[in-house]
Amino acid sequence: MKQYSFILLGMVLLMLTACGPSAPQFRGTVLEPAEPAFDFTLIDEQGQPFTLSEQKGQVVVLFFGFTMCPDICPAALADLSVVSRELGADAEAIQVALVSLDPERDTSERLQQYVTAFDPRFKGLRGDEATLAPILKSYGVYSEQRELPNSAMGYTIDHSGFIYAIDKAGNWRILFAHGTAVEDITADLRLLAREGG
Amino acid sequence: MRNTISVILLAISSLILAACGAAPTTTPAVAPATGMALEIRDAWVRPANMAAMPMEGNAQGGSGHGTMDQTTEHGSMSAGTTTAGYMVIKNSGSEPDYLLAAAADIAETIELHNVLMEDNVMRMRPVEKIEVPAGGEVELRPGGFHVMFIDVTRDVKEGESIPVTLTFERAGTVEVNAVVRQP
Ligand SMILES: [Cu+2]
Repeated sequence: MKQYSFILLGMVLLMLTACGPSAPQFRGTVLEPAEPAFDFTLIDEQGQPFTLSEQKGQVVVLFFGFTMCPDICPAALADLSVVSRELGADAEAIQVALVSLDPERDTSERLQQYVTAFDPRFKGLRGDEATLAPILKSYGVYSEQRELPNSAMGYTIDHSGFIYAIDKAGNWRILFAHGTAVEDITADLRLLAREGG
Repeated sequence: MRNTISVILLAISSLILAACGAAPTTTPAVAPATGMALEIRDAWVRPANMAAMPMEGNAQGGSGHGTMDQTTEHGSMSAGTTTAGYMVIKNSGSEPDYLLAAAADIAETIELHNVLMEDNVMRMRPVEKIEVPAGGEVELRPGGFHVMFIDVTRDVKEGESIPVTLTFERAGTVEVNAVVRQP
């Protein structure tokens, strides 16, 4: 009798491990069902077009911000640069990009200076408002220009601070809230980086 | 009886010592006589790179794809590099004090700002002053109050020490050295 329960236990364990790889444990918010990420073409920090759908085979990590942003943007990009370092060789399958919410002030030169200070592989993308609007809508990015009459900044951009991960097949898979631990982002991106593409 | 008195005397003198002695020994803040009630610690500034100046002509840069150069015509409005400074200010006095201004030679304009985070949305706003509560402290930190450096005039490199002059309503001016580092 005891033997049977051992065999049963063994079978259950086998079944569990068989299921494991197909259901990886992500720590960020998983979008289910995963849907194709909204495609777009923006201009990168080198002045070259960057089309999301042409990045298939790469995991694309998007953050929406602006270079005059004091807090959330540098914090998110600094976190992502640590993530890249932690990922080691897996980082080669990952492209991090900052999408500017302030194309008026964020020129390509400025974006280049800004993003490469965090990691030389990071991209800085920009587009005019008409190009940006449907992208923001599709990813649920909140962004609003606020006049600051009492500040030398002139205006600021109120914006949401999510990080978006798009897998190698071009599906938007994971959403990280601002302040998600670096180790959690690293673990999730490593899983995505090791998926077949 | 004699013992009790000496204990009381000892307590009083150590109180006096603590009140006067604490600031100069435990902080890099060089507090002038008027700033005794305030103690500033962990002052730091994010590194900043000067944004590349637009090159004359500017013809070679692009791929000819799209012309998204928008000339800004906002007059006095800044389009320069910004960075932010943080610290903890402790007030051992019995009256609240207020941080009114900060000055340093790394930026054209320096303002006091706050960040309000709500439902994952960040909103930055200038503030007139930052309260340092009596017998308490205020923390300037990422995602909250900060000293905002606007139109940074030079590269601010990790490891550097930036002298910053803070002006308080009661304590007057207080000098601190802020270390340049990542959070
Ligand atoms: Cu600010």
